[in-house]
Amino acid sequence: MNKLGIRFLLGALLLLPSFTIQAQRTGLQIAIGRASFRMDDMKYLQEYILSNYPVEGKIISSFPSHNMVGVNLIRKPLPNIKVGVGYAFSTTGGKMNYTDYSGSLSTYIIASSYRLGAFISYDFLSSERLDLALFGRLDANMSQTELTTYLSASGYSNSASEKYRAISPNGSVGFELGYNLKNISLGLEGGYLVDRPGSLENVDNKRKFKDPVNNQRVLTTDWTGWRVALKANLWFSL
Amino acid sequence: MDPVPGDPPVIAVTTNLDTVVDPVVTDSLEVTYEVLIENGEFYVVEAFIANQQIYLADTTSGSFQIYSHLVYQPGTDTLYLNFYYSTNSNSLADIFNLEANVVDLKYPVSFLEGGAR
Repeated sequence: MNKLGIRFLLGALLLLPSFTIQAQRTGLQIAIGRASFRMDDMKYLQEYILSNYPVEGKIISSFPSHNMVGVNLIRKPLPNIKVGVGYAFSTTGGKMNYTDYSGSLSTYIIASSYRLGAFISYDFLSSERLDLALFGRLDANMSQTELTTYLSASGYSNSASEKYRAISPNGSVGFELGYNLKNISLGLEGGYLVDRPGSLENVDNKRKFKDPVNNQRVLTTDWTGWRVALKANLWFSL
Repeated sequence: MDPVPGDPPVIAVTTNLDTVVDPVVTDSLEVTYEVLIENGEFYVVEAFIANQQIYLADTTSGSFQIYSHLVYQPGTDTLYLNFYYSTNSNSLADIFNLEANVVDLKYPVSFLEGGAR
């Protein structure tokens, strides 16, 4: 994680207790949404694997936008400021396949992102019920990618699987629209996440996942993309 | 997706039993075979007699023995020879050598003695 990211994360975490003197509300935030992902290297890998199929396979799916979920502990130390820490998960994948009368050959690349981070949100327009906020979030992201190939033909079947991991920082900015009730607020969030792709490493043998064409390059997952989510904030009286 | 078949292999199989009239096993009988295949891959030959596999090889020529003790009692039994080779169908199973065409040959063989326990 770069210096700016570390400062932001530490700042957000340090702000959390310092605001307790004037803390107004603490709560739990649940977010469910949809996210798109760049995943250039994974798409490239998919093309490479397909080009090495002994038959003429097809790409069935190539890292489409997919669901994401998040859970955050939030605090509202000032009327217009929310800070929080939490966990978020998103996943996507790619599938290639060839099928004929004799059997099928399939390859799946399933990528998952597990993020722990902190955020700050500023309400720049607010009324009693509605507020519109700008937020920024920094996360430490662990990517896990599982590459599995299945062969089934003439009664014979076999499969091979490899797991890779990478750690990388990422940050997101966006807007959130909130509708406030007494102890709950509902919201809609839209934003953009920028990932600093991390080099994938084999979970078992710790070897880097090198580009099969250019051996000097290590493949990465890239979670950069747009995201939109529905949010619910449950406020406690602490 | 349908595979696009290539040219099927051309195969010819000969054995020494082709020219023997009423082959007889007294103590033992040698069987020789030869496979000529063009534009394809030969996988394996297997031989069965009295419901037993008595020979298995992946060579295009060879020989094996039929022994009298393979059967229980004197009489006529059938020697089955199965020659497996590639289909050139270009299917997934063909590409992974999991699909085969077969040439089946049968020869009646007379056993003068039995002896299987």
